Amino acid sequence: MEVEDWSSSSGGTSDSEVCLQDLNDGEHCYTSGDIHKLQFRKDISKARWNDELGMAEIVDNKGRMWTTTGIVCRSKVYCSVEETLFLAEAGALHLLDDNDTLIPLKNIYKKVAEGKSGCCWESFEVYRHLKSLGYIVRRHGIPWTMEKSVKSKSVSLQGMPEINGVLDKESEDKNFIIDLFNNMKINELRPLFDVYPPNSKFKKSSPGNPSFVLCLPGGHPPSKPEIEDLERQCNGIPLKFCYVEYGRVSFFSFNKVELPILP
Amino acid sequence: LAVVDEASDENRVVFYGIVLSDSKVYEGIRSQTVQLQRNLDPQSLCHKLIRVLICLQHLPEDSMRPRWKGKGLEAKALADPMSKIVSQLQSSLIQSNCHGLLSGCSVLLEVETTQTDLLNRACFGRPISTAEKDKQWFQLDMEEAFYLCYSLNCLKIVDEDKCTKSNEELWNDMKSKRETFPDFFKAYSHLRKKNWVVRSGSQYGVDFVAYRHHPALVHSEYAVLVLSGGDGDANGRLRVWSDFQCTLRLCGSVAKTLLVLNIYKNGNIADSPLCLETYSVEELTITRWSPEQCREDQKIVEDRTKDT
Repeated sequence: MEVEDWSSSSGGTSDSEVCLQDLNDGEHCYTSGDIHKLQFRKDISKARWNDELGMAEIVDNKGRMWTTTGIVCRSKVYCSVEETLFLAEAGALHLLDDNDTLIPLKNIYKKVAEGKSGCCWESFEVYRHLKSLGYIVRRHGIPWTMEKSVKSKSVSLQGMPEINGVLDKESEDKNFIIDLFNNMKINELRPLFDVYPPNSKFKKSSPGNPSFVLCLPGGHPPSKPEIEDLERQCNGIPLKFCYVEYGRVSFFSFNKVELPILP
Repeated sequence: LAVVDEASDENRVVFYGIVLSDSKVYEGIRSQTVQLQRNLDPQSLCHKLIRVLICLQHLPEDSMRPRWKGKGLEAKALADPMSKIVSQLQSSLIQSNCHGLLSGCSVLLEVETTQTDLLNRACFGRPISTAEKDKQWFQLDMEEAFYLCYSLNCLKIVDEDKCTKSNEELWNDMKSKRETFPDFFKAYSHLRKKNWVVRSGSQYGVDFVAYRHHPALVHSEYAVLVLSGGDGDANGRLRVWSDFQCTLRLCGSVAKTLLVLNIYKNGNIADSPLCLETYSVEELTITRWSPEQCREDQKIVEDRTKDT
């Protein structure tokens, strides 16, 4: 190798190639028209908000989106605040209060802002981003269906302890609820959503395993011990992390590798 | 078609290597796991494997396919393995009893033409342009110099009084010039021992860049950051979101995967190079995921499997 050859190809400018992967990211924030491509406007469902549960009870369900949204319990369907808001924003759902008055979008945004229903604004942005692309998204640990005879494990309903209380008609241990909410600190790194790939044949009765579990780190990038702790919690299902700032959502993952020994 | 190396439990098959065609071998796919349903019959298993293989051809940024700079260069690299070039360099330096001069954070080396050629082909050091016609001067980074000196035992390093420095003295000298030297050297030697070419990554805002062979033949695959596992990370990288996003974005735009090498000292003080043996290295890649791209790839898989 000539000296000249080496110095020009040592990894200098010849190596830097611009990959267009990221250049179009900015576009997605603003083309909200795409979100409504799913032809919601013909099938508008109705739901009633239940303050005690922090969820909406579907009164009249129309359209195919119910195969991938909401929890089925005693042949009724309940939606979390992010599911409700997503559908309301898209014009696919009319949310009603106890007097059957339509709750305006402004008030649903307020519910998210209040933070009492287990989903903050950033989490909702992530939810909306993935749902708009057709992914199936469920808050981590919330089951797809609940059988009436089974007393749900309190762990599986982390974030929605009121369901246990109301649906089982037993008053939940107050200390337990307090603990649960105390543990949901904003900056704590915890699994946020279970994400399934787009699937027209999805069934709540047998959803299978999610493609990955999504975590939303707080004020700083996740540290190694935090990641390992989460991996243990998620039992072999791959983890991804997301970061939301100024309306942009980015996703990334940490992968253990072993570089091969070269010849 | 597929080499299924190990069934780790009843539900999972871990792929160690997959031969897709004569010339394409994907190494290091150990991180890809496929979850299979219980009691899958052989035909369904076969179909599932085919789908995975097709999917792997369309891997987004996870792809570990090396990007050779031209036709025939991959073959050229195979015919001329880096381990052999480094070994030749080692012999040549020993034979000529080469001495390097430690100056600041560099080691200056005066070499003959054959060694110039070998240093360039093995990617150690940078040539210094001088008017001297019969001799060539090279400048080595601390990691490169210490690797030749300590790991390959083919270089002696002297101080300004022409006294040869012992490995311990060198270690302490280099440590005093840069606090992160022990971690950086462990990372450097870890990759070099696997026959990867390792160069400084400062132009990309990372610590090293790793190439599969000579940079003239192949683009570098990895942008490497060296982090200390355990408490007190002197390198201080990826601690805040701005650095994280910035580094990841930069790697993405130059088409390199971000490789983090976590160096664990396992409670040993770095007072002599012998402690290197007690260090362990963990390799981790950080990759961005694009839900838009993944969906497109999924569609390709679905379209293709209709034919299988």
